[in-house]
Amino acid sequence: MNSEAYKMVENIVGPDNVSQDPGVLDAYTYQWMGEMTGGGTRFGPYRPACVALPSTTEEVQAIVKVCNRFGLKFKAHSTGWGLYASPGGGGVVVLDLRRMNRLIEINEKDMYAVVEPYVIWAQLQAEAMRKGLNCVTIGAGSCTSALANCTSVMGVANNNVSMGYNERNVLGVEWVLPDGEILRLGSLGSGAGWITGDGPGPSLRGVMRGAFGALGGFGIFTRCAIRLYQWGGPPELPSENIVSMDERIIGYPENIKLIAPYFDDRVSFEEAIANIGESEIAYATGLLERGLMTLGLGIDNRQSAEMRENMAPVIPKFIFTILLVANSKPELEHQIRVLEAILEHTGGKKFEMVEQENYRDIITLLLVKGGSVPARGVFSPTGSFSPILCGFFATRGTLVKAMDDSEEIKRKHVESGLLADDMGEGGWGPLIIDHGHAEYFENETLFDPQVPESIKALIDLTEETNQSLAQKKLPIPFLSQVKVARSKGLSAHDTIAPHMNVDYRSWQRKFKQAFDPNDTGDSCNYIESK
Amino acid sequence: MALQDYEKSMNYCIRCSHCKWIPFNKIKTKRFSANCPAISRYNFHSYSGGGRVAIAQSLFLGRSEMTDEIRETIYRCQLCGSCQVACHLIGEICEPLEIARELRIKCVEDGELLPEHMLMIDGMRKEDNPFGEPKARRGDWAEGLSLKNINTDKADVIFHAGCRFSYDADLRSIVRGAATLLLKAGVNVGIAGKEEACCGGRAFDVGYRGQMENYADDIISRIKAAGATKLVTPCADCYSAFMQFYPMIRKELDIEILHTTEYFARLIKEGKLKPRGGSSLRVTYHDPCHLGRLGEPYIPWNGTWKKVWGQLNIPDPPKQVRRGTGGVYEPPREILRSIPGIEFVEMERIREYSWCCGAGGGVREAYEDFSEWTALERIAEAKAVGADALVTTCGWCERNFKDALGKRNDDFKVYDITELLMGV
Repeated sequence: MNSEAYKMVENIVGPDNVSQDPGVLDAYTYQWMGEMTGGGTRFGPYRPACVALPSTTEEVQAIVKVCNRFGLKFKAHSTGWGLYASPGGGGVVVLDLRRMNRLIEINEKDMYAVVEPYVIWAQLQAEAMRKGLNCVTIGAGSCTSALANCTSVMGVANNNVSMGYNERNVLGVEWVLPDGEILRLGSLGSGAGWITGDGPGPSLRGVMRGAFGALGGFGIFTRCAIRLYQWGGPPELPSENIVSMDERIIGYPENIKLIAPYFDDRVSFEEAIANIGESEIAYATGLLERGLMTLGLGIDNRQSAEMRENMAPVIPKFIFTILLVANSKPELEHQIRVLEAILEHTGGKKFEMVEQENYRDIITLLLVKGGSVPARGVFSPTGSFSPILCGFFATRGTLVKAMDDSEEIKRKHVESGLLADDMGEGGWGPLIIDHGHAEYFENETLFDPQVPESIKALIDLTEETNQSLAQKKLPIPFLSQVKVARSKGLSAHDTIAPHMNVDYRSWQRKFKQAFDPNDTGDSCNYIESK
Repeated sequence: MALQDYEKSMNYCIRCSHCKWIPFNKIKTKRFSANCPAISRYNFHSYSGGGRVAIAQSLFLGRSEMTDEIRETIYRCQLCGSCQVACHLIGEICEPLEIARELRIKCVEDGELLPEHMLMIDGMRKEDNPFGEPKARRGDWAEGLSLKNINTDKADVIFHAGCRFSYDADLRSIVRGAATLLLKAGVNVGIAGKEEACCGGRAFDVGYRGQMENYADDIISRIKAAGATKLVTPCADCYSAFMQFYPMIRKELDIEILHTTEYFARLIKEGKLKPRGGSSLRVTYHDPCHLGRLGEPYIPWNGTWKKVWGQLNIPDPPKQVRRGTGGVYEPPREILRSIPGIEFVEMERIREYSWCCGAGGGVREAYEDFSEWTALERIAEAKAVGADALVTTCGWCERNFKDALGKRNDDFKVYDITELLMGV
């Protein structure tokens, strides 16, 4: 890196907040999914030129201007988890936004929070719940940045059914564009506060992120407002013990109820979840499918192996959970009555084992808080995973096709012994978005990052699934494809767009050229300007 | 063990950042949601548990070399173990705490030393304590207590005072009080007096494994000679060394090991000890890392990982997953609840996910400002729950808290649980 440029960055953030030490930079090179691009380790191919820790929007802006001046690329990350956070080439200045961690405001009256990039969902939710409010804590984990999810990268949640998709929960946004200009979206842009993302003031949420986000390739978001929702549960859900199935809620709330319906076939199952969405009774829906649930939720891998042996045959195949959270006993009774009517209509029955305390508590915590359970379920067994169908948003009818498809293809690959044997049933979902407006499902696939054949099996499976989806005229899920494309040095959008009805890249490229005239933002996961 | 023994482990960090926070289901406020002093203070990812794993692997693979910045990063860590507790809620192969310790052992082997630590080790080599205080005065604290001398007499219980309690004049009433309570309860207790030596835990923490091995051998031979059935210590550091470090280096103490709080709680239940109580006080309890998560007994393992169900990794034979759940948490709380006049309230970060006092891992000796900052974070948490006083059960914690408060002329009270039992 040019020493003059480095000196300028050092002057901006102070010498304690910038480094180009190779060992320090390697901590920013080591990454989950690095195994897809590295040579047998989790170190990706590109070490940053330097890493800087800005603490204000002004510092971010100044660093971006330095990058523009010296022809450097930049990439920012908040909590920085996953291949998306890594540089896509050499000479990239990484901005670690960890010092921008202020929860600026929770506006109880207008029901929103204003956060900086390093506020994680778990922190925001804890503070919101104390005020009778709640937010969408995404399946990627409570450890992820609320702002990043809202502005830059898709993430779905069990509680999307009651609080919507975060693409639509983001309100006012402060955005440092790739050329260093600061843009304020929505009402913030006209000095009218954070209350809306669409004005009065510029409404560019679609350009900013669309469905999936630009994954750091389109500037740096420094503050945003996030919509909060009414929460009928208690201010805290205190628990005893810390490990997976051992954790117990202290005093399970009276106005919360967990039910696990199961069905004879997937069509009835899908109809039931759609009805549940439409009826607006659920706080959260979803479950790990039985293959994943038994492989990932033991208190250690040995216990998981036993659960896979003994429990998987006992759990019904077409099952999900629904968490009801009411403001009063009569409301809970109403919700239960509606659910029972739906089950009667769709032929659903209740799997009562899940209502036992040990299952009930851990699943309730999973559905409300996320906690460590999702990560444990997918990482502990083999050390790595990648979801196939990651980013598959479905309309009624297409979900069932995709679930069937992914399961069938995956089962073949599982039989090779190179992936974890979840019977093809490693799904997370089904999730309902916006009260039944859309559905979502992804099939988590567990592979060992230290076994090259296992990595290859994952890539082959993902490609085969995506090809099958394309042949059926179903959408190729973006986030699954990002990882496969990166492993081959390709751009995800370049591999997806040819299968779509329209080549959306021409629009993306125009946006990129307009917002990033010097091609300064690292766009390895978005679109190159040329 | 050496860094190459963690070759597999180093590949299984998933870079999730769980190592930076307390378990998510336990977060009550944003203010007290962090678990790791190092990343909280220095911010670069390299300061986190996961970042240390990446540094270790980078050095191991020869991708980078030791620099001043990396050496600073390695030593600016209390080795409090909170990263590993959080990490092991997600997986079990990656062991960030053990890897962080191995990095220090490598530093010592490669001559990458800190002068402050060399001074500490020099004190141990000359006087068997990290302060370099005269060995001959080690037993002065017990003057006038009529405790047996285990070098010449038999006793059921060996009372191991530890370096901090033996030499810190401000803490003398605590160690004398603990011994007095045992005597009052009718326990046949003896001490090694000036022959008692350091447990070596502090040496191990800064990378001097061999130094601790010598002390382990010394204590093992002393226990054999004494014919005692129990080894009781008021020092959480020593407790952790006996329970965790010695088995880690395959040095087993063939005796029941108890922290004083465990023994006091037992004696209270048996009716042999009656908490006196004093004026009414609202207190909160600080779980010392070395008594809590690092006090969890270590079970050595020498096995392999095998595959079942395709690619599911399981250890063969079974391997302990260290999450701190086997630490000492309830006895101190039972004691506090039993003392008349004491109102006990919990802080937000407790038990396995307690925030560190800042004194461990050689940080107090080498990075005073960081050590103090860490202590003040904990004191702020104690104040936030409306406590009049912070109670702990570790001399190192108490010393660090008192020093941090003293520098700010803050008269917030810090007690050892023994003092409350004695009726402060």
